[in-house]
Amino acid sequence: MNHPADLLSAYLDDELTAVEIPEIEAHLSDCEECTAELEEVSAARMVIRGLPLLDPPAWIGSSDVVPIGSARSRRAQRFTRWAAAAAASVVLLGGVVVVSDDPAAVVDIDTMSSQHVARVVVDPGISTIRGPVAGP
Amino acid sequence: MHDDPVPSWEEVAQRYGRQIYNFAYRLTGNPDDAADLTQEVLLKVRRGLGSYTPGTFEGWLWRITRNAFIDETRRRKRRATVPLPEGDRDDTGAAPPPEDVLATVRLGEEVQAALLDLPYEFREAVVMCDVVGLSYEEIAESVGAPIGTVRSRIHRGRKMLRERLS
Repeated sequence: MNHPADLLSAYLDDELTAVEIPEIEAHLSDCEECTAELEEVSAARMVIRGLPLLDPPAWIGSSDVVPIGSARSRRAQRFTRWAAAAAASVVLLGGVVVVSDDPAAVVDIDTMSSQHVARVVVDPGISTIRGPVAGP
Repeated sequence: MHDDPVPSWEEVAQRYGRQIYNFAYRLTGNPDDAADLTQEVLLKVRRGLGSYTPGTFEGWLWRITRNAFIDETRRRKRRATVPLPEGDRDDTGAAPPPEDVLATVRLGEEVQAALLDLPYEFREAVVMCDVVGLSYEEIAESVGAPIGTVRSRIHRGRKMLRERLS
């Protein structure tokens, strides 16, 4: 038979049929190349199987924990962003705006405009602007 | 083929939570990602249990696990990181662990790094076989590939791993 490379791991794992096993064993008894390969994959198999099984965190399996970054929490984040965008549009109409995910963070339009003017005045990069810019 | 009884979600979480976590950890090399993925899989299983029709429960469970894992990693597109050493970290200034413990930790890190270096299909097949302990038939059912493909992936995966470790 040809070199049965892919079957060597199956032989180690006892995953061959009753017909295949004697064929492989007959081949191995006469093929140094396949015998060496069998030893190599056997070593790799033992190393992986020797890795310790790790314990998951205790909260795994709690029915009320939604993992961060999961599809469900992403949906919640998308809604928050949508709500923030909708609230931001209110400012164009002269209303009150929620400027962050924190619903308590509310700033009125007068405060916003005074802060904006102050930033413009102290910024040396645009020092020619001295006050509120008049509209056209 | 016999039909497995349908377990409750609590039974699934208790019986398979650790296996799923180890599957995810060995594929990602990141304990936080593995924990999130495990919980995501368990929640998907809970939502799917109502529509599960008795068959081979393991095949169904690992198909969900595998698909959830692929979906999540595609979304996150986060590079797998080199894992922390196995076991507890010691920040107390106590005496260092003996040489044989250090050697075990280093070997675990090297094996994990070599696993992460394998192409996904090969890493998945090797982890399902050698970490989770699934049969070739269960792996074939989970990944939707013929047994011959599974044989090939496991063998080539082990060979690549051996080359990377030598």
